[in-house]
Amino acid sequence: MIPLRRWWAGTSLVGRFTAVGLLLTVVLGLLVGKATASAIRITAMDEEAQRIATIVAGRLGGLLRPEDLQGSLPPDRYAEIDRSIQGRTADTGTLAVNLWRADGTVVYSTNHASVGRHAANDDELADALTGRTARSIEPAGRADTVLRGAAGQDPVMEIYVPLMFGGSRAAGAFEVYRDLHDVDARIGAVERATAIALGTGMAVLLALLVLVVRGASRQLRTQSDDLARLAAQQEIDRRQTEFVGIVSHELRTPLTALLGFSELLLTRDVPDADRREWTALLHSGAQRLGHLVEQLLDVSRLDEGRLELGRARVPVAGAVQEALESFAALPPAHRIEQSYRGEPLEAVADRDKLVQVLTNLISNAVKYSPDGGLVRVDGRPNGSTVRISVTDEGLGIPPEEMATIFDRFHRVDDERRRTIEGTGLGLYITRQLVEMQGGRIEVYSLGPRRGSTFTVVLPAAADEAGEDDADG
Amino acid sequence: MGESDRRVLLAEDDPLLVALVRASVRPAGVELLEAGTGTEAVAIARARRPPLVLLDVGLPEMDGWEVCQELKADPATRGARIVMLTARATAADRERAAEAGADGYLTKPFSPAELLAAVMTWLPA
Repeated sequence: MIPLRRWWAGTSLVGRFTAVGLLLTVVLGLLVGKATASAIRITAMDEEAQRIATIVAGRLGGLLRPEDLQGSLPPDRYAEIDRSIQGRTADTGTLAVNLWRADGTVVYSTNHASVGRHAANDDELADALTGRTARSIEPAGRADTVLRGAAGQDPVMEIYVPLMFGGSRAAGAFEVYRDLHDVDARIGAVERATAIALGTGMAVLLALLVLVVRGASRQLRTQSDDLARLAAQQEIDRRQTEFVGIVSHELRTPLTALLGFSELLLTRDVPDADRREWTALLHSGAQRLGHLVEQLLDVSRLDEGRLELGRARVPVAGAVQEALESFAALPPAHRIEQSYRGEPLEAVADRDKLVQVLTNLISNAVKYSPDGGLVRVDGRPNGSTVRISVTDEGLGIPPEEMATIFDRFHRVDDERRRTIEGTGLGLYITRQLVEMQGGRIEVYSLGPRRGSTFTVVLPAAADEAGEDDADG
Repeated sequence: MGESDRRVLLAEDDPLLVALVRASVRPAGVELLEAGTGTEAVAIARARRPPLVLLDVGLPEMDGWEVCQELKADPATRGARIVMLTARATAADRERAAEAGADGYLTKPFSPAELLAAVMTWLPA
Protein backbone atom coordinates (compact mmCIF):
# COMPACT_ATOMS: atom_id res chain seq x y z
CA MET A 1 0.00 0.00 0.00
CA ILE A 2 2.94 2.28 0.61
CA PRO A 3 3.92 2.59 -3.09
CA LEU A 4 0.25 3.12 -3.92
CA ARG A 5 -0.02 5.83 -1.29
CA ARG A 6 3.19 7.42 -2.54
CA TRP A 7 1.91 7.27 -6.12
CA TRP A 8 -1.39 8.83 -5.02
CA ALA A 9 0.38 11.64 -3.18
CA GLY A 10 2.57 12.38 -6.18
CA THR A 11 -0.18 12.35 -8.79
CA SER A 12 -2.13 15.27 -10.13
CA LEU A 13 -5.86 15.65 -9.68
CA VAL A 14 -6.48 14.64 -13.28
CA GLY A 15 -4.27 11.56 -12.85
CA ARG A 16 -6.20 10.51 -9.75
CA PHE A 17 -9.49 11.15 -11.50
CA THR A 18 -8.41 9.02 -14.46
CA ALA A 19 -7.25 6.14 -12.24
CA VAL A 20 -10.40 6.12 -10.13
CA GLY A 21 -12.49 6.51 -13.29
CA LEU A 22 -10.79 3.53 -14.94
CA LEU A 23 -11.35 1.40 -11.86
CA LEU A 24 -15.00 2.41 -11.69
CA THR A 25 -15.43 1.76 -15.41
CA VAL A 26 -14.02 -1.75 -15.07
CA VAL A 27 -16.30 -2.56 -12.11
CA LEU A 28 -19.31 -0.94 -13.72
CA GLY A 29 -18.51 -2.63 -17.06
CA LEU A 30 -18.39 -6.03 -15.31
CA LEU A 31 -21.71 -5.44 -13.55
CA VAL A 32 -23.47 -4.12 -16.63
CA GLY A 33 -21.89 -6.89 -18.72
CA LYS A 34 -23.17 -9.55 -16.33
CA ALA A 35 -26.69 -8.13 -16.30
CA THR A 36 -26.68 -7.72 -20.07
CA ALA A 37 -25.31 -11.22 -20.61
CA SER A 38 -28.04 -12.67 -18.45
CA ALA A 39 -30.70 -10.76 -20.40
CA ILE A 40 -29.11 -11.80 -23.69
CA ARG A 41 -29.03 -15.45 -22.58
CA ILE A 42 -32.73 -15.50 -21.68
CA THR A 43 -33.69 -13.78 -24.92
CA ALA A 44 -31.46 -16.08 -26.97
CA MET A 45 -32.91 -19.17 -25.28
CA ASP A 46 -36.43 -17.98 -25.93
CA GLU A 47 -35.57 -17.30 -29.54
CA GLU A 48 -33.93 -20.70 -29.91
CA ALA A 49 -36.94 -22.41 -28.32
CA GLN A 50 -39.22 -20.52 -30.67
CA ARG A 51 -37.08 -21.45 -33.68
CA ILE A 52 -37.11 -25.14 -32.75
CA ALA A 53 -40.84 -24.98 -32.03
CA THR A 54 -41.51 -23.47 -35.46
CA ILE A 55 -39.40 -26.13 -37.19
CA VAL A 56 -40.96 -28.96 -35.17
CA ALA A 57 -44.49 -27.67 -35.65
CA GLY A 58 -43.87 -27.18 -39.38
CA ARG A 59 -42.17 -30.50 -40.06
CA LEU A 60 -43.91 -32.81 -37.60
CA GLY A 61 -47.33 -31.16 -37.15
CA GLY A 62 -48.82 -32.65 -40.33
CA LEU A 63 -47.37 -36.06 -39.57
CA LEU A 64 -49.90 -36.98 -36.93
CA ARG A 65 -53.58 -37.52 -36.97
CA PRO A 66 -55.96 -37.01 -34.00
CA GLU A 67 -56.44 -40.75 -33.60
CA ASP A 68 -52.68 -41.24 -33.10
CA LEU A 69 -53.15 -39.64 -29.69
CA GLN A 70 -56.16 -41.69 -28.58
CA GLY A 71 -54.28 -44.67 -27.23
CA SER A 72 -51.04 -46.53 -27.83
CA LEU A 73 -49.65 -46.41 -31.34
CA PRO A 74 -49.87 -49.61 -33.33
CA PRO A 75 -46.34 -50.89 -34.17
CA ASP A 76 -46.65 -50.16 -37.89
CA ARG A 77 -47.79 -46.65 -37.26
CA TYR A 78 -45.12 -46.23 -34.61
CA ALA A 79 -42.40 -47.35 -37.07
CA GLU A 80 -43.71 -45.01 -39.74
CA ILE A 81 -43.80 -42.05 -37.37
CA ASP A 82 -40.32 -42.96 -36.03
CA ARG A 83 -38.81 -42.94 -39.53
CA SER A 84 -40.37 -39.59 -40.36
CA ILE A 85 -39.38 -37.94 -37.08
CA GLN A 86 -35.81 -39.26 -37.18
CA GLY A 87 -35.50 -38.08 -40.79
CA ARG A 88 -37.00 -34.69 -40.24
CA THR A 89 -35.13 -33.74 -37.05
CA ALA A 90 -31.65 -35.06 -37.86
CA ASP A 91 -30.42 -31.64 -38.98
CA THR A 92 -32.04 -29.54 -36.24
CA GLY A 93 -29.57 -30.16 -33.46
CA THR A 94 -32.14 -31.89 -31.33
CA LEU A 95 -31.00 -34.75 -29.14
CA ALA A 96 -34.29 -36.49 -28.67
CA VAL A 97 -37.99 -36.04 -29.36
CA ASN A 98 -40.88 -37.30 -27.22
CA LEU A 99 -44.55 -37.13 -28.10
CA TRP A 100 -46.83 -36.61 -25.10
CA ARG A 101 -50.48 -37.30 -24.92
CA ALA A 102 -52.65 -34.78 -23.10
CA ASP A 103 -52.97 -37.17 -20.15
CA GLY A 104 -49.19 -36.99 -19.57
CA THR A 105 -48.17 -40.28 -21.19
CA VAL A 106 -45.34 -40.67 -23.71
CA VAL A 107 -46.75 -42.25 -26.86
CA TYR A 108 -43.65 -41.93 -28.96
CA SER A 109 -39.97 -41.31 -28.19
CA THR A 110 -36.79 -41.38 -30.24
CA ASN A 111 -35.60 -43.31 -27.21
CA HIS A 112 -38.12 -46.08 -27.49
CA ALA A 113 -37.67 -47.17 -23.85
CA SER A 114 -39.42 -43.96 -22.77
CA VAL A 115 -42.71 -44.87 -24.41
CA GLY A 116 -45.46 -45.31 -21.87
CA ARG A 117 -43.66 -43.18 -19.28
CA HIS A 118 -46.07 -41.03 -17.36
CA ALA A 119 -45.42 -37.52 -16.00
CA ALA A 120 -47.70 -36.77 -13.06
CA ASN A 121 -47.28 -33.01 -13.00
CA ASP A 122 -45.03 -31.41 -15.56
CA ASP A 123 -45.44 -27.62 -15.64
CA GLU A 124 -43.98 -27.22 -19.12
CA LEU A 125 -46.24 -29.95 -20.51
CA ALA A 126 -49.23 -28.36 -18.83
CA ASP A 127 -48.22 -25.02 -20.40
CA ALA A 128 -47.84 -26.61 -23.82
CA LEU A 129 -51.27 -28.24 -23.56
CA THR A 130 -52.80 -24.75 -23.29
CA GLY A 131 -51.30 -23.98 -26.72
CA ARG A 132 -48.09 -22.14 -25.72
CA THR A 133 -44.54 -23.18 -26.45
CA ALA A 134 -42.78 -23.84 -23.17
CA ARG A 135 -39.13 -24.43 -22.37
CA SER A 136 -36.89 -25.33 -19.45
CA ILE A 137 -33.18 -25.79 -19.01
CA GLU A 138 -32.10 -29.07 -17.50
CA PRO A 139 -28.71 -28.97 -15.81
CA ALA A 140 -26.04 -31.41 -16.91
CA GLY A 141 -26.84 -35.02 -15.95
CA ARG A 142 -30.46 -34.25 -15.07
CA ALA A 143 -31.93 -34.97 -18.48
CA ASP A 144 -34.16 -37.88 -17.76
CA THR A 145 -33.83 -39.40 -21.15
CA VAL A 146 -30.81 -40.98 -22.70
CA LEU A 147 -30.16 -38.64 -25.51
CA ARG A 148 -28.77 -39.35 -28.88
CA GLY A 149 -25.07 -38.67 -29.25
CA ALA A 150 -24.76 -36.92 -25.87
CA ALA A 151 -23.42 -38.24 -22.62
CA GLY A 152 -25.54 -35.89 -20.55
CA GLN A 153 -22.57 -33.72 -19.51
CA ASP A 154 -23.90 -30.49 -20.93
CA PRO A 155 -27.09 -28.78 -19.88
CA VAL A 156 -29.93 -29.30 -22.30
CA MET A 157 -33.03 -27.30 -23.11
CA GLU A 158 -36.39 -29.00 -23.15
CA ILE A 159 -38.87 -27.41 -25.50
CA TYR A 160 -42.54 -28.35 -25.41
CA VAL A 161 -44.36 -27.67 -28.68
CA PRO A 162 -48.13 -27.97 -28.58
CA LEU A 163 -49.74 -30.27 -31.10
CA MET A 164 -53.02 -28.74 -32.20
CA PHE A 165 -55.82 -30.25 -34.30
CA GLY A 166 -58.07 -27.20 -34.13
CA GLY A 167 -59.77 -25.94 -31.01
CA SER A 168 -58.11 -24.07 -28.15
CA ARG A 169 -56.58 -27.05 -26.35
CA ALA A 170 -53.71 -29.10 -27.62
CA ALA A 171 -54.20 -32.79 -28.14
CA GLY A 172 -50.64 -33.42 -27.06
CA ALA A 173 -47.14 -31.96 -27.27
CA PHE A 174 -43.78 -32.69 -28.73
CA GLU A 175 -40.97 -32.54 -26.23
CA VAL A 176 -37.71 -31.69 -27.95
CA TYR A 177 -34.31 -31.94 -26.24
CA ARG A 178 -31.98 -29.36 -27.63
CA ASP A 179 -28.26 -29.60 -27.09
CA LEU A 180 -27.20 -26.25 -25.63
CA HIS A 181 -23.56 -26.71 -26.59
CA ASP A 182 -23.69 -24.83 -29.89
CA VAL A 183 -26.37 -22.48 -28.61
CA ASP A 184 -24.06 -21.59 -25.73
CA ALA A 185 -21.24 -20.94 -28.15
CA ARG A 186 -23.48 -18.63 -30.16
CA ILE A 187 -24.73 -16.85 -27.05
CA GLY A 188 -21.16 -16.60 -25.75
CA ALA A 189 -20.13 -14.90 -28.97
CA VAL A 190 -23.00 -12.43 -28.66
CA GLU A 191 -22.13 -11.82 -25.00
CA ARG A 192 -18.50 -11.22 -25.85
CA ALA A 193 -19.40 -8.85 -28.65
CA THR A 194 -21.74 -7.00 -26.30
CA ALA A 195 -19.12 -6.83 -23.54
CA ILE A 196 -16.49 -5.53 -25.97
CA ALA A 197 -18.91 -2.98 -27.38
CA LEU A 198 -19.96 -1.91 -23.89
CA GLY A 199 -16.40 -1.79 -22.61
CA THR A 200 -15.20 0.16 -25.62
CA GLY A 201 -18.13 2.53 -25.39
CA MET A 202 -17.52 3.20 -21.72
CA ALA A 203 -13.80 3.59 -22.22
CA VAL A 204 -14.44 6.10 -25.00
CA LEU A 205 -16.91 7.88 -22.74
CA LEU A 206 -14.38 7.97 -19.93
CA ALA A 207 -11.65 9.18 -22.29
CA LEU A 208 -13.94 11.98 -23.45
CA LEU A 209 -14.73 12.82 -19.85
CA VAL A 210 -11.04 12.86 -18.93
CA LEU A 211 -10.32 15.09 -21.91
CA VAL A 212 -13.07 17.47 -20.87
CA VAL A 213 -11.92 17.51 -17.24
CA ARG A 214 -8.29 17.91 -18.24
CA GLY A 215 -9.20 20.76 -20.56
CA ALA A 216 -11.22 22.43 -17.85
CA SER A 217 -8.50 21.91 -15.28
CA ARG A 218 -5.86 23.26 -17.66
CA GLN A 219 -8.00 26.27 -18.32
CA LEU A 220 -8.50 26.78 -14.60
CA ARG A 221 -4.80 26.38 -14.01
CA THR A 222 -3.98 28.86 -16.76
CA GLN A 223 -6.43 31.31 -15.25
CA SER A 224 -5.09 30.87 -11.74
CA ASP A 225 -1.53 31.15 -13.11
CA ASP A 226 -2.52 34.37 -14.80
CA LEU A 227 -4.01 35.65 -11.58
CA ALA A 228 -0.93 34.64 -9.60
CA ARG A 229 1.33 36.29 -12.17
CA LEU A 230 -0.75 39.44 -12.01
CA ALA A 231 -0.66 39.48 -8.21
CA ALA A 232 3.10 38.84 -8.24
CA GLN A 233 3.58 41.64 -10.79
CA GLN A 234 1.51 43.98 -8.65
CA GLU A 235 3.57 43.05 -5.61
CA ILE A 236 6.77 43.70 -7.57
CA ASP A 237 5.37 47.03 -8.77
CA ARG A 238 4.38 47.97 -5.24
CA ARG A 239 7.78 47.05 -3.85
CA GLN A 240 9.53 48.86 -6.67
CA THR A 241 7.53 52.01 -5.96
CA GLU A 242 8.32 51.66 -2.28
CA PHE A 243 11.95 51.01 -3.11
CA VAL A 244 12.20 54.08 -5.31
CA GLY A 245 10.50 56.16 -2.60
CA ILE A 246 12.87 55.03 0.12
CA VAL A 247 15.94 55.24 -2.09
CA SER A 248 15.10 58.74 -3.21
CA HIS A 249 14.66 59.75 0.42
CA GLU A 250 17.88 58.01 1.46
CA LEU A 251 19.76 59.65 -1.40
CA ARG A 252 18.33 63.11 -0.84
CA THR A 253 19.54 63.46 2.73
CA PRO A 254 23.29 63.00 2.08
CA LEU A 255 22.90 64.88 -1.19
CA THR A 256 21.36 67.81 0.65
CA ALA A 257 24.30 67.75 3.07
CA LEU A 258 26.85 67.58 0.20
CA LEU A 259 25.29 70.45 -1.71
CA GLY A 260 24.61 72.44 1.45
CA PHE A 261 28.04 72.23 3.05
CA SER A 262 29.87 72.75 -0.24
CA GLU A 263 27.72 75.84 -0.84
CA LEU A 264 28.49 77.11 2.66
CA LEU A 265 32.21 76.53 2.14
CA LEU A 266 32.12 78.32 -1.20
CA THR A 267 30.00 81.30 -0.20
CA ARG A 268 30.78 82.09 3.40
CA ASP A 269 33.87 83.49 4.91
CA VAL A 270 34.18 81.53 8.14
CA PRO A 271 36.83 80.66 10.70
CA ASP A 272 39.07 77.65 10.05
CA ALA A 273 37.40 75.62 12.81
CA ASP A 274 34.03 75.89 11.04
CA ARG A 275 35.63 75.19 7.72
CA ARG A 276 37.18 72.01 9.11
CA GLU A 277 33.93 70.90 10.72
CA TRP A 278 31.93 71.51 7.57
CA THR A 279 34.49 69.70 5.45
CA ALA A 280 34.28 66.74 7.83
CA LEU A 281 30.47 66.76 7.57
CA LEU A 282 30.74 67.04 3.78
CA HIS A 283 33.05 64.06 3.80
CA SER A 284 30.69 62.11 6.05
CA GLY A 285 27.78 62.87 3.70
CA ALA A 286 29.84 61.75 0.71
CA GLN A 287 30.79 58.56 2.52
CA ARG A 288 27.18 57.88 3.31
CA LEU A 289 26.21 58.45 -0.28
CA GLY A 290 29.01 56.15 -1.41
CA HIS A 291 27.97 53.48 1.06
CA LEU A 292 24.36 53.74 -0.02
CA VAL A 293 25.29 53.45 -3.71
CA GLU A 294 27.42 50.41 -2.85
CA GLN A 295 24.54 48.78 -0.99
CA LEU A 296 22.04 49.55 -3.73
CA LEU A 297 24.37 47.95 -6.26
CA ASP A 298 24.61 44.88 -4.01
CA VAL A 299 20.84 44.70 -3.68
CA SER A 300 20.40 45.09 -7.41
CA ARG A 301 22.95 42.34 -8.11
CA LEU A 302 21.32 40.09 -5.51
CA ASP A 303 17.83 40.69 -6.87
CA GLU A 304 18.89 39.94 -10.40
CA GLY A 305 20.99 36.96 -9.33
CA ARG A 306 24.04 38.51 -10.98
CA LEU A 307 26.29 38.10 -7.96
CA GLU A 308 28.93 35.49 -8.63
CA LEU A 309 30.22 33.60 -5.66
CA GLY A 310 33.33 31.50 -5.39
CA ARG A 311 33.56 28.42 -3.17
CA ALA A 312 36.71 27.74 -1.28
CA ARG A 313 38.00 26.68 2.10
CA VAL A 314 38.14 29.87 4.11
CA PRO A 315 39.89 29.96 7.49
CA VAL A 316 37.39 31.66 9.79
CA ALA A 317 39.99 33.44 11.94
CA GLY A 318 41.61 34.90 8.83
CA ALA A 319 38.29 36.22 7.51
CA VAL A 320 37.46 37.82 10.87
CA GLN A 321 40.93 39.42 10.95
CA GLU A 322 40.40 40.86 7.49
CA ALA A 323 36.98 42.23 8.51
CA LEU A 324 38.46 43.83 11.65
CA GLU A 325 41.03 45.73 9.59
CA SER A 326 38.31 48.17 8.54
CA PHE A 327 37.75 49.05 12.21
CA ALA A 328 41.26 50.33 12.79
CA ALA A 329 39.96 53.58 14.21
CA LEU A 330 37.51 51.99 16.60
CA PRO A 331 35.91 54.28 19.16
CA PRO A 332 37.85 53.74 22.41
CA ALA A 333 34.68 52.69 24.26
CA HIS A 334 34.56 49.40 22.32
CA ARG A 335 36.65 46.30 22.83
CA ILE A 336 36.73 43.39 20.47
CA GLU A 337 37.49 39.83 21.58
CA GLN A 338 37.81 36.74 19.44
CA SER A 339 37.73 33.08 20.33
CA TYR A 340 37.82 29.96 18.19
CA ARG A 341 37.32 26.29 18.80
CA GLY A 342 38.09 23.32 16.58
CA GLU A 343 41.12 24.77 14.84
CA PRO A 344 41.81 25.05 12.06
CA LEU A 345 38.21 26.20 11.69
CA GLU A 346 37.42 26.40 8.02
CA ALA A 347 34.15 27.16 6.23
CA VAL A 348 33.18 26.62 2.62
CA ALA A 349 32.46 30.12 1.40
CA ASP A 350 33.34 32.98 -0.91
CA ARG A 351 36.12 34.65 1.03
CA ASP A 352 35.34 38.26 0.00
CA LYS A 353 31.62 37.85 0.68
CA LEU A 354 32.25 36.22 4.04
CA VAL A 355 34.49 39.16 4.97
CA GLN A 356 31.72 41.54 3.82
CA VAL A 357 29.17 39.66 5.97
CA LEU A 358 31.46 39.76 9.03
CA THR A 359 32.26 43.45 8.43
CA ASN A 360 28.53 44.26 8.31
CA LEU A 361 27.81 42.33 11.50
CA ILE A 362 30.78 43.79 13.44
CA SER A 363 29.94 47.28 12.14
CA ASN A 364 26.34 46.85 13.36
CA ALA A 365 27.56 45.55 16.72
CA VAL A 366 29.69 48.68 17.19
CA LYS A 367 27.10 51.04 15.72
CA TYR A 368 24.22 49.80 17.86
CA SER A 369 26.13 49.81 21.11
CA PRO A 370 26.54 53.59 21.39
CA ASP A 371 27.65 53.32 25.01
CA GLY A 372 30.52 51.09 24.02
CA GLY A 373 31.23 47.71 25.51
CA LEU A 374 32.48 44.35 24.40
CA VAL A 375 31.99 42.97 20.91
CA ARG A 376 32.73 39.25 20.87
CA VAL A 377 33.42 37.19 17.77
CA ASP A 378 33.22 33.42 18.32
CA GLY A 379 33.84 30.63 15.85
CA ARG A 380 33.14 26.97 16.52
CA PRO A 381 32.34 23.80 14.61
CA ASN A 382 28.90 22.21 14.90
CA GLY A 383 28.48 18.93 13.06
CA SER A 384 28.98 19.59 9.36
CA THR A 385 28.68 23.34 9.89
CA VAL A 386 30.70 26.23 11.23
CA ARG A 387 29.01 28.81 13.49
CA ILE A 388 30.40 32.31 13.63
CA SER A 389 28.71 34.61 16.18
CA VAL A 390 29.02 38.35 16.69
CA THR A 391 27.72 39.42 20.10
CA ASP A 392 27.39 42.95 21.43
CA GLU A 393 26.20 44.56 24.66
CA GLY A 394 24.23 47.21 22.86
CA LEU A 395 20.66 48.31 22.20
CA GLY A 396 19.33 44.80 21.57
CA ILE A 397 16.28 43.90 19.52
CA PRO A 398 12.68 43.88 20.74
CA PRO A 399 11.05 40.43 20.25
CA GLU A 400 8.46 41.77 17.81
CA GLU A 401 11.22 42.97 15.46
CA MET A 402 12.99 39.60 15.19
CA ALA A 403 10.94 38.41 12.24
CA THR A 404 11.38 41.54 10.14
CA ILE A 405 14.90 42.60 11.01
CA PHE A 406 16.33 41.04 7.83
CA ASP A 407 13.73 42.65 5.56
CA ARG A 408 14.75 45.17 2.99
CA PHE A 409 14.71 48.74 4.38
CA HIS A 410 13.61 47.52 7.76
CA ARG A 411 15.03 49.48 10.66
CA VAL A 412 14.29 48.85 14.29
CA ASP A 413 12.21 51.77 15.53
CA ASP A 414 13.77 52.81 18.76
CA GLU A 415 14.49 56.23 20.24
CA ARG A 416 18.19 55.61 20.72
CA ARG A 417 18.65 54.25 17.23
CA ARG A 418 17.26 57.33 15.60
CA THR A 419 20.47 59.27 15.58
CA ILE A 420 22.33 56.23 14.22
CA GLU A 421 22.31 56.44 10.47
CA GLY A 422 21.43 53.42 8.43
CA THR A 423 19.66 52.49 5.25
CA GLY A 424 17.91 49.34 6.42
CA LEU A 425 19.74 47.42 3.71
CA GLY A 426 22.73 46.05 5.61
CA LEU A 427 21.10 43.02 7.25
CA TYR A 428 19.06 42.31 4.13
CA ILE A 429 22.25 42.13 2.07
CA THR A 430 24.01 40.18 4.82
CA ARG A 431 21.33 37.51 4.94
CA GLN A 432 21.20 37.22 1.15
CA LEU A 433 24.98 36.81 0.99
CA VAL A 434 24.95 34.15 3.69
CA GLU A 435 22.11 32.20 2.08
CA MET A 436 23.75 32.35 -1.32
CA GLN A 437 26.75 30.62 0.23
CA GLY A 438 24.53 27.77 1.36
CA GLY A 439 24.32 29.06 4.92
CA ARG A 440 21.83 30.78 7.16
CA ILE A 441 21.82 33.58 9.68
CA GLU A 442 20.26 33.58 13.13
CA VAL A 443 19.57 36.41 15.51
CA TYR A 444 19.23 36.31 19.26
CA SER A 445 18.57 39.06 21.75
CA LEU A 446 17.31 39.17 25.30
CA GLY A 447 15.46 42.34 24.34
CA PRO A 448 15.98 46.12 24.30
CA ARG A 449 19.22 47.32 25.94
CA ARG A 450 20.39 43.76 26.49
CA GLY A 451 22.62 43.25 23.49
CA SER A 452 22.21 40.94 20.54
CA THR A 453 23.94 38.01 18.86
CA PHE A 454 24.01 37.35 15.14
CA THR A 455 25.18 33.90 14.14
CA VAL A 456 26.26 32.91 10.65
CA VAL A 457 26.03 29.17 9.98
CA LEU A 458 28.05 27.96 7.00
CA PRO A 459 28.99 24.52 5.67
CA ALA A 460 32.22 23.34 7.24
CA ALA A 461 35.14 22.46 4.99
CA ALA A 462 35.37 18.67 5.05
CA ASP A 463 38.73 16.96 5.54
CA GLU A 464 38.47 15.41 2.09
CA ALA A 465 38.73 18.13 -0.50
CA GLY A 466 36.33 16.24 -2.75
CA GLU A 467 33.41 16.70 -0.39
CA ASP A 468 33.60 20.43 -0.56
CA ASP A 469 31.31 20.74 -3.52
CA ALA A 470 28.83 18.11 -2.42
CA ASP A 471 26.89 20.15 0.10
CA GLY A 472 26.09 23.29 -1.83
CA MET B 1 10.82 87.73 24.77
CA GLY B 2 12.69 90.99 23.95
CA GLU B 3 11.97 93.21 20.96
CA SER B 4 12.11 90.28 18.51
CA ASP B 5 11.80 86.57 19.20
CA ARG B 6 14.50 84.74 17.20
CA ARG B 7 13.93 81.22 18.40
CA VAL B 8 13.45 78.51 15.77
CA LEU B 9 12.43 74.91 16.51
CA LEU B 10 14.09 72.39 14.18
CA ALA B 11 12.46 68.96 14.12
CA GLU B 12 14.81 66.70 12.17
CA ASP B 13 16.07 63.19 12.92
CA ASP B 14 19.14 63.09 10.70
CA PRO B 15 22.26 64.49 12.46
CA LEU B 16 23.83 65.53 9.15
CA LEU B 17 20.86 67.72 8.28
CA VAL B 18 20.68 69.13 11.80
CA ALA B 19 24.31 70.23 11.39
CA LEU B 20 23.56 71.72 7.99
CA VAL B 21 20.54 73.70 9.20
CA ARG B 22 22.52 74.88 12.23
CA ALA B 23 25.32 76.16 9.98
CA SER B 24 22.94 77.63 7.42
CA VAL B 25 20.85 79.76 9.77
CA ARG B 26 23.78 81.06 11.82
CA PRO B 27 23.92 84.50 10.04
CA ALA B 28 20.28 85.10 11.05
CA GLY B 29 21.33 85.06 14.69
CA VAL B 30 18.63 82.59 15.68
CA GLU B 31 18.44 80.38 18.73
CA LEU B 32 17.92 76.85 17.45
CA LEU B 33 15.80 74.45 19.53
CA GLU B 34 16.28 70.85 18.34
CA ALA B 35 13.90 67.89 18.39
CA GLY B 36 14.63 64.39 17.03
CA THR B 37 11.10 62.98 16.98
CA GLY B 38 7.58 64.19 16.31
CA THR B 39 6.44 63.88 19.91
CA GLU B 40 9.52 65.71 21.11
CA ALA B 41 8.79 68.50 18.60
CA VAL B 42 5.21 68.92 19.90
CA ALA B 43 6.44 68.93 23.52
CA ILE B 44 9.11 71.58 22.87
CA ALA B 45 6.71 73.70 20.80
CA ARG B 46 4.19 73.70 23.65
CA ALA B 47 6.76 74.39 26.35
CA ARG B 48 8.85 77.04 24.56
CA ARG B 49 6.39 78.49 22.02
CA PRO B 50 8.94 79.37 19.30
CA PRO B 51 7.53 81.64 16.55
CA LEU B 52 8.97 79.44 13.73
CA VAL B 53 9.12 75.65 13.31
CA LEU B 54 11.16 73.86 10.63
CA LEU B 55 9.50 70.48 10.38
CA ASP B 56 10.92 67.42 8.58
CA VAL B 57 8.16 65.26 7.07
CA GLY B 58 9.79 61.90 7.81
CA LEU B 59 9.98 62.06 11.60
CA PRO B 60 9.79 58.97 13.80
CA GLU B 61 6.86 58.34 16.16
CA MET B 62 4.70 61.15 14.70
CA ASP B 63 5.38 62.26 11.17
CA GLY B 64 5.74 65.92 10.21
CA TRP B 65 2.18 66.21 8.90
CA GLU B 66 0.73 64.99 12.18
CA VAL B 67 2.95 67.37 14.18
CA CYS B 68 1.85 70.26 11.96
CA GLN B 69 -1.85 69.44 12.38
CA GLU B 70 -1.43 69.09 16.13
CA LEU B 71 0.38 72.42 16.48
CA LYS B 72 -2.17 74.23 14.29
CA ALA B 73 -5.05 72.73 16.27
CA ASP B 74 -3.68 73.82 19.64
CA PRO B 75 -4.48 77.48 20.49
CA ALA B 76 -1.20 77.68 22.42
CA THR B 77 0.94 76.82 19.39
CA ARG B 78 -1.35 77.91 16.55
CA GLY B 79 0.56 81.19 16.11
CA ALA B 80 3.83 79.50 15.17
CA ARG B 81 4.80 79.62 11.52
CA ILE B 82 5.53 76.19 10.16
CA VAL B 83 7.85 75.41 7.24
CA MET B 84 7.89 71.78 6.11
CA LEU B 85 11.09 70.12 4.90
CA THR B 86 9.96 67.57 2.30
CA ALA B 87 11.77 65.09 0.12
CA ARG B 88 9.47 65.57 -2.83
CA ALA B 89 7.34 68.44 -4.03
CA THR B 90 4.54 66.76 -5.86
CA ALA B 91 1.15 68.41 -6.22
CA ALA B 92 -0.14 65.96 -3.62
CA ASP B 93 2.53 67.09 -1.14
CA ARG B 94 1.72 70.77 -1.69
CA GLU B 95 -1.94 70.02 -1.14
CA ARG B 96 -1.13 68.10 1.98
CA ALA B 97 1.00 70.96 3.29
CA ALA B 98 -1.94 73.33 2.79
CA GLU B 99 -4.34 70.87 4.38
CA ALA B 100 -2.14 70.39 7.42
CA GLY B 101 -1.97 74.17 7.77
CA ALA B 102 1.73 74.60 6.96
CA ASP B 103 2.85 78.09 6.06
CA GLY B 104 5.53 77.01 3.59
CA TYR B 105 7.79 74.20 2.55
CA LEU B 106 11.33 73.57 1.34
CA THR B 107 12.23 70.64 -0.88
CA LYS B 108 15.34 68.52 -0.30
CA PRO B 109 17.96 69.11 -1.44
CA PHE B 110 17.51 72.70 -0.25
CA SER B 111 20.40 75.12 -0.28
CA PRO B 112 21.61 76.95 2.84
CA ALA B 113 20.80 80.28 1.14
CA GLU B 114 17.20 79.18 0.51
CA LEU B 115 16.87 78.03 4.08
CA LEU B 116 18.32 81.25 5.45
CA ALA B 117 15.97 83.28 3.26
CA ALA B 118 12.97 81.26 4.46
CA VAL B 119 13.94 81.75 8.09
CA MET B 120 14.42 85.51 7.58
CA THR B 121 11.07 85.71 5.80
CA TRP B 122 9.07 83.80 8.34
CA LEU B 123 10.62 85.09 11.56
CA PRO B 124 8.71 88.09 12.90
CA ALA B 125 10.64 91.32 12.47
